[in-house]
Amino acid sequence: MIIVYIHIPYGSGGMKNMDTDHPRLHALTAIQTNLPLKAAYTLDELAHATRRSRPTAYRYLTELEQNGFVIAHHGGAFSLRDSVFLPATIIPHIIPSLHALKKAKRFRLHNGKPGVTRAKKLLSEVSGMTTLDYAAYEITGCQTPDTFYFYPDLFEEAVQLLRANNYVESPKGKVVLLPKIGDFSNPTLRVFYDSLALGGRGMLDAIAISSRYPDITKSSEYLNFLLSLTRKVEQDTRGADKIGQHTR
Amino acid sequence: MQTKSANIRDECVQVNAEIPSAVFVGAAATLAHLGWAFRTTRDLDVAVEVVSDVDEDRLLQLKYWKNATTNEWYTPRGIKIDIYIGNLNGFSVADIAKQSVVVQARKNAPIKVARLEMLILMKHRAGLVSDVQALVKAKYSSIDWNYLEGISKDSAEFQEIRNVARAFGLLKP
Repeated sequence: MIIVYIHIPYGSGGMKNMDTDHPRLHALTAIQTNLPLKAAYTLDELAHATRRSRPTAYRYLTELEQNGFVIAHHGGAFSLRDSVFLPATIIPHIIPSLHALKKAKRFRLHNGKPGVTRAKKLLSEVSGMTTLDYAAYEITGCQTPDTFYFYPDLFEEAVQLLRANNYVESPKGKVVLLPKIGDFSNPTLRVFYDSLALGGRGMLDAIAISSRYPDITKSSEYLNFLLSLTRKVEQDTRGADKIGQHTR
Repeated sequence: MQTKSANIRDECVQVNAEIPSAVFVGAAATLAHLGWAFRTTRDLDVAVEVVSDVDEDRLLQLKYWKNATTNEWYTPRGIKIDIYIGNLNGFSVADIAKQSVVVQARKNAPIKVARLEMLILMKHRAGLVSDVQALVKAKYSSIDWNYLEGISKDSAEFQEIRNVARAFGLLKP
Protein backbone atom coordinates (compact mmCIF):
# COMPACT_ATOMS: atom_id res chain seq x y z
CA MET A 1 0.00 0.00 0.00
CA ILE A 2 1.25 3.49 -0.81
CA ILE A 3 1.05 6.01 1.96
CA VAL A 4 1.42 9.55 0.80
CA TYR A 5 3.11 11.98 3.10
CA ILE A 6 2.50 15.46 1.80
CA HIS A 7 4.45 18.35 3.17
CA ILE A 8 2.51 21.42 2.23
CA PRO A 9 3.96 24.92 2.24
CA TYR A 10 1.54 27.77 1.81
CA GLY A 11 1.57 29.80 -1.36
CA SER A 12 3.26 33.14 -1.48
CA GLY A 13 1.53 36.39 -0.66
CA GLY A 14 -1.42 37.03 1.61
CA MET A 15 -1.15 36.76 5.38
CA LYS A 16 0.68 33.51 5.79
CA ASN A 17 1.85 34.56 9.22
CA MET A 18 -1.66 33.76 10.49
CA ASP A 19 -0.76 30.10 10.45
CA THR A 20 2.79 29.05 9.93
CA ASP A 21 2.66 25.32 10.56
CA HIS A 22 3.06 23.04 7.56
CA PRO A 23 0.22 20.56 7.44
CA ARG A 24 0.97 16.95 6.68
CA LEU A 25 -1.48 14.47 5.31
CA HIS A 26 -0.79 10.80 5.72
CA ALA A 27 -2.80 8.17 3.95
CA LEU A 28 -4.24 10.47 1.31
CA THR A 29 -3.77 7.93 -1.47
CA ALA A 30 -5.24 5.14 0.62
CA ILE A 31 -8.27 7.29 1.41
CA GLN A 32 -8.70 8.35 -2.20
CA THR A 33 -8.31 4.79 -3.42
CA ASN A 34 -10.26 2.84 -0.83
CA LEU A 35 -12.95 5.14 0.55
CA PRO A 36 -15.99 5.48 -1.70
CA LEU A 37 -17.55 8.92 -2.08
CA LYS A 38 -20.21 9.01 0.65
CA ALA A 39 -21.95 11.55 2.83
CA ALA A 40 -20.50 10.03 6.02
CA TYR A 41 -18.03 7.40 7.16
CA THR A 42 -17.22 5.56 10.35
CA LEU A 43 -13.81 5.35 11.98
CA ASP A 44 -13.87 1.60 11.27
CA GLU A 45 -14.26 2.33 7.57
CA LEU A 46 -11.28 4.69 7.68
CA ALA A 47 -9.20 2.07 9.52
CA HIS A 48 -10.19 -0.52 6.93
CA ALA A 49 -9.44 1.83 4.02
CA THR A 50 -5.99 2.71 5.34
CA ARG A 51 -5.33 -0.81 6.66
CA ARG A 52 -4.33 0.62 9.98
CA SER A 53 -5.59 0.25 13.54
CA ARG A 54 -8.44 2.37 14.85
CA PRO A 55 -6.03 4.56 16.91
CA THR A 56 -3.93 5.21 13.78
CA ALA A 57 -7.08 5.87 11.76
CA TYR A 58 -8.14 8.31 14.45
CA ARG A 59 -4.80 10.10 14.06
CA TYR A 60 -5.38 10.34 10.31
CA LEU A 61 -8.85 11.71 10.97
CA THR A 62 -7.35 14.30 13.29
CA GLU A 63 -4.92 15.33 10.52
CA LEU A 64 -7.78 15.61 8.06
CA GLU A 65 -9.67 17.69 10.61
CA GLN A 66 -6.68 19.96 11.24
CA ASN A 67 -6.44 20.57 7.51
CA GLY A 68 -10.11 21.46 7.16
CA PHE A 69 -11.32 18.40 5.26
CA VAL A 70 -13.73 17.29 8.00
CA ILE A 71 -17.18 18.87 7.93
CA ALA A 72 -18.56 17.06 10.97
CA HIS A 73 -17.25 14.48 13.43
CA HIS A 74 -19.18 12.90 16.27
CA GLY A 75 -19.65 9.50 17.87
CA GLY A 76 -17.25 7.61 15.61
CA ALA A 77 -18.83 8.96 12.43
CA PHE A 78 -17.56 11.80 10.27
CA SER A 79 -18.33 13.66 7.07
CA LEU A 80 -15.58 14.79 4.70
CA ARG A 81 -15.46 17.51 2.11
CA ASP A 82 -15.31 15.79 -1.26
CA SER A 83 -12.29 17.98 -2.05
CA VAL A 84 -10.27 15.29 -0.26
CA PHE A 85 -10.70 13.24 -3.44
CA LEU A 86 -9.13 15.85 -5.72
CA PRO A 87 -5.88 14.91 -7.49
CA ALA A 88 -2.89 15.05 -5.13
CA THR A 89 -1.32 17.78 -7.28
CA ILE A 90 -4.19 20.15 -6.49
CA ILE A 91 -4.27 19.56 -2.72
CA PRO A 92 -1.43 22.01 -1.87
CA HIS A 93 -3.28 24.76 -3.78
CA ILE A 94 -6.48 24.34 -1.74
CA ILE A 95 -4.93 23.94 1.72
CA PRO A 96 -4.89 27.73 2.42
CA SER A 97 -8.58 27.89 1.47
CA LEU A 98 -9.37 24.92 3.72
CA HIS A 99 -7.56 26.55 6.62
CA ALA A 100 -9.45 29.78 6.05
CA LEU A 101 -12.76 27.86 6.00
CA LYS A 102 -11.78 26.09 9.21
CA LYS A 103 -11.09 29.39 10.95
CA ALA A 104 -14.10 31.18 9.52
CA LYS A 105 -16.65 32.90 11.74
CA ARG A 106 -20.34 32.63 10.86
CA PHE A 107 -22.84 35.32 11.72
CA ARG A 108 -26.57 35.96 11.59
CA LEU A 109 -28.66 38.83 12.84
CA HIS A 110 -29.64 38.84 16.51
CA ASN A 111 -33.31 38.45 15.52
CA GLY A 112 -32.52 35.16 13.77
CA LYS A 113 -32.66 36.49 10.22
CA PRO A 114 -29.72 35.75 7.90
CA GLY A 115 -28.95 39.42 7.31
CA VAL A 116 -27.00 38.75 4.12
CA THR A 117 -28.08 41.86 2.23
CA ARG A 118 -27.33 44.13 5.19
CA ALA A 119 -23.95 42.49 5.80
CA LYS A 120 -23.01 42.90 2.15
CA LYS A 121 -23.72 46.60 2.45
CA LEU A 122 -21.84 46.96 5.74
CA LEU A 123 -18.82 45.01 4.55
CA SER A 124 -18.66 46.93 1.28
CA GLU A 125 -17.32 49.77 3.41
CA VAL A 126 -14.30 47.76 4.58
CA SER A 127 -11.63 46.51 2.22
CA GLY A 128 -11.52 42.84 1.41
CA MET A 129 -12.65 40.25 -1.09
CA THR A 130 -15.90 38.35 -1.61
CA THR A 131 -15.51 34.68 -2.40
CA LEU A 132 -17.45 31.45 -2.94
CA ASP A 133 -21.25 31.69 -3.47
CA TYR A 134 -21.68 35.35 -4.37
CA ALA A 135 -18.32 35.72 -6.09
CA ALA A 136 -18.85 32.56 -8.13
CA TYR A 137 -22.36 33.72 -9.01
CA GLU A 138 -20.96 37.04 -10.24
CA ILE A 139 -18.34 35.24 -12.33
CA THR A 140 -20.43 32.41 -13.76
CA GLY A 141 -24.15 32.81 -12.95
CA CYS A 142 -24.13 29.04 -12.62
CA GLN A 143 -25.70 28.50 -9.20
CA THR A 144 -27.83 30.65 -6.96
CA PRO A 145 -25.84 32.13 -4.06
CA ASP A 146 -26.86 31.35 -0.50
CA THR A 147 -24.10 32.28 1.94
CA PHE A 148 -22.03 35.46 1.84
CA TYR A 149 -18.33 34.66 2.28
CA PHE A 150 -15.96 37.58 2.72
CA TYR A 151 -12.21 37.92 3.34
CA PRO A 152 -11.78 41.26 5.14
CA ASP A 153 -8.30 42.77 5.04
CA LEU A 154 -8.69 43.42 8.76
CA PHE A 155 -10.47 40.40 10.20
CA GLU A 156 -11.12 41.58 13.77
CA GLU A 157 -12.27 44.97 12.56
CA ALA A 158 -14.90 43.31 10.36
CA VAL A 159 -15.99 41.07 13.25
CA GLN A 160 -16.48 44.14 15.43
CA LEU A 161 -18.37 45.92 12.67
CA LEU A 162 -20.87 43.06 12.41
CA ARG A 163 -21.22 42.76 16.18
CA ALA A 164 -21.85 46.49 16.45
CA ASN A 165 -24.68 46.06 13.97
CA ASN A 166 -26.62 43.34 15.81
CA TYR A 167 -24.91 40.33 14.29
CA VAL A 168 -24.12 37.35 16.50
CA GLU A 169 -21.99 34.31 15.83
CA SER A 170 -24.02 31.26 14.86
CA PRO A 171 -23.04 27.92 13.33
CA LYS A 172 -25.97 28.31 10.93
CA GLY A 173 -25.05 31.89 10.02
CA LYS A 174 -25.06 32.85 6.35
CA VAL A 175 -22.60 35.70 6.68
CA VAL A 176 -19.11 34.23 6.89
CA LEU A 177 -15.87 36.05 7.57
CA LEU A 178 -12.72 34.24 6.54
CA PRO A 179 -9.17 35.07 7.63
CA LYS A 180 -6.87 35.86 4.72
CA ILE A 181 -4.55 32.88 4.41
CA GLY A 182 -2.50 32.21 1.28
CA ASP A 183 -2.30 33.97 -2.06
CA PHE A 184 -4.86 36.60 -3.15
CA SER A 185 -2.93 38.09 -6.07
CA ASN A 186 -5.45 36.71 -8.59
CA PRO A 187 -9.00 37.00 -7.16
CA THR A 188 -10.64 34.75 -9.77
CA LEU A 189 -8.04 32.04 -9.19
CA ARG A 190 -8.61 32.35 -5.45
CA VAL A 191 -12.38 31.96 -5.85
CA PHE A 192 -11.66 28.90 -8.02
CA TYR A 193 -9.45 27.31 -5.34
CA ASP A 194 -11.87 28.27 -2.56
CA SER A 195 -14.69 26.63 -4.51
CA LEU A 196 -12.67 23.47 -5.00
CA ALA A 197 -11.73 23.41 -1.33
CA LEU A 198 -15.32 23.88 -0.16
CA GLY A 199 -16.37 20.86 -2.21
CA GLY A 200 -19.97 19.87 -2.76
CA ARG A 201 -21.74 22.49 -4.82
CA GLY A 202 -18.54 24.54 -4.76
CA MET A 203 -17.13 21.98 -7.22
CA LEU A 204 -19.78 23.03 -9.73
CA ASP A 205 -18.70 26.64 -9.30
CA ALA A 206 -15.07 25.67 -9.81
CA ILE A 207 -15.90 23.81 -13.01
CA ALA A 208 -17.95 26.77 -14.25
CA ILE A 209 -15.07 29.18 -13.45
CA SER A 210 -12.59 26.91 -15.21
CA SER A 211 -14.89 26.71 -18.21
CA ARG A 212 -15.12 30.48 -18.37
CA TYR A 213 -11.53 31.33 -17.52
CA PRO A 214 -9.38 28.35 -18.61
CA ASP A 215 -6.27 30.55 -18.82
CA ILE A 216 -6.60 31.57 -15.20
CA THR A 217 -7.31 28.12 -13.80
CA LYS A 218 -4.64 26.35 -15.85
CA SER A 219 -2.37 26.48 -12.81
CA SER A 220 -4.46 23.65 -11.42
CA GLU A 221 -2.48 21.48 -13.86
CA TYR A 222 -3.88 17.95 -13.94
CA LEU A 223 -7.33 19.07 -12.83
CA ASN A 224 -7.32 21.67 -15.59
CA PHE A 225 -6.28 18.94 -18.00
CA LEU A 226 -9.26 16.80 -16.95
CA LEU A 227 -11.68 19.72 -17.24
CA SER A 228 -10.32 20.64 -20.69
CA LEU A 229 -10.67 17.03 -21.73
CA THR A 230 -14.27 16.97 -20.50
CA ARG A 231 -15.07 20.08 -22.54
CA LYS A 232 -13.45 18.56 -25.61
CA VAL A 233 -15.38 15.28 -25.26
CA GLU A 234 -18.62 17.23 -24.80
CA GLN A 235 -17.95 19.20 -27.97
CA ASP A 236 -16.95 16.09 -29.91
CA THR A 237 -20.00 14.16 -28.72
CA ARG A 238 -22.32 16.94 -29.75
CA GLY A 239 -20.67 16.95 -33.16
CA ALA A 240 -21.22 13.21 -33.44
CA ASP A 241 -24.91 13.65 -32.61
CA LYS A 242 -25.23 16.19 -35.37
CA ILE A 243 -23.63 13.87 -37.92
CA GLY A 244 -25.90 11.02 -36.77
CA GLN A 245 -28.98 13.16 -37.25
CA HIS A 246 -27.97 14.22 -40.74
CA THR A 247 -27.22 10.69 -41.89
CA ARG A 248 -30.48 9.16 -40.66
CA MET B 1 -30.66 41.39 -6.16
CA GLN B 2 -33.32 38.94 -7.27
CA THR B 3 -31.38 35.74 -7.64
CA LYS B 4 -32.21 32.81 -9.82
CA SER B 5 -33.67 30.90 -6.84
CA ALA B 6 -36.57 33.34 -6.99
CA ASN B 7 -36.86 32.63 -10.71
CA ILE B 8 -36.83 28.89 -10.10
CA ARG B 9 -39.58 29.24 -7.51
CA ASP B 10 -41.77 31.08 -10.01
CA GLU B 11 -40.82 28.60 -12.70
CA CYS B 12 -42.05 25.74 -10.48
CA VAL B 13 -45.43 27.47 -10.24
CA GLN B 14 -45.59 27.85 -14.03
CA VAL B 15 -44.52 24.28 -14.75
CA ASN B 16 -47.03 22.97 -12.20
CA ALA B 17 -49.80 24.77 -14.07
CA GLU B 18 -48.63 23.42 -17.43
CA ILE B 19 -47.86 19.84 -16.34
CA PRO B 20 -50.46 19.08 -13.66
CA SER B 21 -49.05 15.69 -12.62
CA ALA B 22 -45.48 16.99 -12.26
CA VAL B 23 -43.70 16.15 -9.01
CA PHE B 24 -40.57 18.18 -8.52
CA VAL B 25 -37.48 16.22 -7.61
CA GLY B 26 -33.83 17.27 -7.56
CA ALA B 27 -32.90 20.89 -6.96
CA ALA B 28 -36.43 22.30 -6.75
CA ALA B 29 -37.48 19.68 -4.20
CA THR B 30 -34.32 20.32 -2.18
CA LEU B 31 -35.01 24.04 -2.24
CA ALA B 32 -38.62 23.48 -1.16
CA HIS B 33 -37.63 21.25 1.76
CA LEU B 34 -34.93 23.69 2.85
CA GLY B 35 -37.25 26.70 2.86
CA TRP B 36 -36.16 27.94 -0.58
CA ALA B 37 -32.69 28.78 0.74
CA PHE B 38 -30.08 26.58 -0.86
CA ARG B 39 -27.72 26.69 -3.78
CA THR B 40 -29.00 25.20 -6.98
CA THR B 41 -28.31 25.18 -10.66
CA ARG B 42 -30.93 26.56 -12.99
CA ASP B 43 -32.43 23.36 -14.33
CA LEU B 44 -35.57 21.56 -13.13
CA ASP B 45 -36.22 17.85 -12.68
CA VAL B 46 -39.77 16.56 -12.66
CA ALA B 47 -41.25 13.09 -12.32
CA VAL B 48 -44.46 12.79 -14.31
CA GLU B 49 -46.90 9.95 -13.68
CA VAL B 50 -49.49 10.90 -16.32
CA VAL B 51 -47.50 10.37 -19.50
CA SER B 52 -50.02 12.24 -21.66
CA ASP B 53 -49.12 15.38 -19.67
CA VAL B 54 -45.72 15.33 -21.33
CA ASP B 55 -46.66 14.06 -24.74
CA GLU B 56 -44.23 15.71 -27.16
CA ASP B 57 -47.00 17.41 -29.17
CA ARG B 58 -48.59 18.72 -26.00
CA LEU B 59 -45.28 20.13 -24.77
CA LEU B 60 -44.68 21.80 -28.11
CA GLN B 61 -48.19 23.30 -27.98
CA LEU B 62 -47.32 24.70 -24.56
CA LYS B 63 -44.25 26.33 -26.18
CA TYR B 64 -41.78 23.98 -24.59
CA TRP B 65 -38.91 23.35 -26.98
CA LYS B 66 -36.23 20.75 -27.54
CA ASN B 67 -32.60 21.44 -28.36
CA ALA B 68 -32.04 19.43 -31.52
CA THR B 69 -28.37 18.88 -30.72
CA THR B 70 -28.65 17.72 -27.14
CA ASN B 71 -32.26 16.47 -27.08
CA GLU B 72 -32.77 18.49 -23.90
CA TRP B 73 -36.15 20.06 -23.21
CA TYR B 74 -36.60 23.70 -22.20
CA THR B 75 -39.63 25.46 -20.73
CA PRO B 76 -41.11 28.45 -22.58
CA ARG B 77 -39.08 30.65 -20.20
CA GLY B 78 -35.82 28.99 -21.28
CA ILE B 79 -35.24 26.81 -18.20
CA LYS B 80 -33.82 23.35 -18.89
CA ILE B 81 -36.19 20.65 -17.67
CA ASP B 82 -35.50 16.92 -17.28
CA ILE B 83 -38.71 14.88 -17.36
CA TYR B 84 -38.75 11.41 -15.83
CA ILE B 85 -41.59 9.01 -16.62
CA GLY B 86 -40.20 5.59 -15.64
CA ASN B 87 -37.87 5.22 -12.71
CA LEU B 88 -35.61 7.63 -10.95
CA ASN B 89 -32.73 6.57 -8.71
CA GLY B 90 -34.44 3.31 -7.84
CA PHE B 91 -37.93 4.67 -7.26
CA SER B 92 -40.83 4.32 -9.66
CA VAL B 93 -42.38 7.59 -10.74
CA ALA B 94 -45.72 6.18 -9.53
CA ASP B 95 -44.30 5.78 -6.00
CA ILE B 96 -42.70 9.22 -6.09
CA ALA B 97 -46.07 10.69 -7.09
CA LYS B 98 -48.01 8.66 -4.51
CA GLN B 99 -45.71 9.73 -1.68
CA SER B 100 -45.22 13.31 -2.81
CA VAL B 101 -45.99 16.21 -0.51
CA VAL B 102 -47.56 19.56 -1.30
CA VAL B 103 -45.66 22.76 -0.51
CA GLN B 104 -46.43 26.37 -1.24
CA ALA B 105 -44.01 27.66 -3.88
CA ARG B 106 -45.74 31.03 -3.63
CA LYS B 107 -48.81 32.22 -1.76
CA ASN B 108 -51.76 30.11 -2.97
CA ALA B 109 -49.47 28.38 -5.44
CA PRO B 110 -49.00 24.78 -4.28
CA ILE B 111 -46.67 22.38 -6.02
CA LYS B 112 -45.91 18.72 -5.42
CA VAL B 113 -42.38 17.74 -4.39
CA ALA B 114 -40.74 14.41 -3.64
CA ARG B 115 -41.12 13.26 -0.06
CA LEU B 116 -38.10 14.18 2.08
CA GLU B 117 -36.97 10.60 2.77
CA MET B 118 -37.18 9.66 -0.92
CA LEU B 119 -35.33 12.83 -1.88
CA ILE B 120 -32.51 12.04 0.56
CA LEU B 121 -32.13 8.54 -0.90
CA MET B 122 -32.32 9.86 -4.46
CA LYS B 123 -29.55 12.35 -3.69
CA HIS B 124 -27.56 9.63 -1.92
CA ARG B 125 -27.86 7.30 -4.89
CA ALA B 126 -26.90 10.10 -7.28
CA GLY B 127 -23.73 10.72 -5.23
CA LEU B 128 -24.71 14.29 -4.34
CA VAL B 129 -23.18 14.00 -0.89
CA SER B 130 -23.32 17.69 0.03
CA ASP B 131 -27.07 17.75 -0.67
CA VAL B 132 -27.54 14.67 1.54
CA GLN B 133 -25.53 16.34 4.30
CA ALA B 134 -27.55 19.55 3.99
CA LEU B 135 -30.92 17.77 4.01
CA VAL B 136 -30.11 15.50 6.97
CA LYS B 137 -28.54 18.35 8.94
CA ALA B 138 -31.36 20.82 8.35
CA LYS B 139 -34.33 18.45 8.39
CA TYR B 140 -33.22 15.82 10.92
CA SER B 141 -36.27 16.19 13.15
CA SER B 142 -38.64 15.95 10.15
CA ILE B 143 -37.19 12.69 8.86
CA ASP B 144 -39.37 9.63 9.41
CA TRP B 145 -36.53 7.19 10.07
CA ASN B 146 -38.80 4.13 10.06
CA TYR B 147 -40.12 5.11 6.65
CA LEU B 148 -36.62 5.84 5.39
CA GLU B 149 -35.48 2.40 6.59
CA GLY B 150 -38.43 0.83 4.80
CA ILE B 151 -37.57 2.36 1.43
CA SER B 152 -33.79 1.93 1.69
CA LYS B 153 -32.51 -0.77 -0.61
CA ASP B 154 -30.67 -2.48 2.25
CA SER B 155 -29.54 -1.92 5.83
CA ALA B 156 -26.15 -0.61 4.66
CA GLU B 157 -27.80 2.21 2.72
CA PHE B 158 -29.96 3.10 5.71
CA GLN B 159 -26.93 3.08 8.02
CA GLU B 160 -25.07 5.42 5.67
CA ILE B 161 -27.81 8.00 6.09
CA ARG B 162 -27.88 7.40 9.85
CA ASN B 163 -24.11 7.97 9.90
CA VAL B 164 -24.63 11.43 8.44
CA ALA B 165 -26.92 12.27 11.35
CA ARG B 166 -24.43 10.71 13.76
CA ALA B 167 -21.52 12.70 12.32
CA PHE B 168 -23.43 15.93 12.86
CA GLY B 169 -24.19 14.90 16.45
CA LEU B 170 -27.93 14.73 15.79
CA LEU B 171 -28.74 11.19 16.90
CA LYS B 172 -30.40 10.97 20.26
CA PRO B 173 -28.54 8.61 22.62
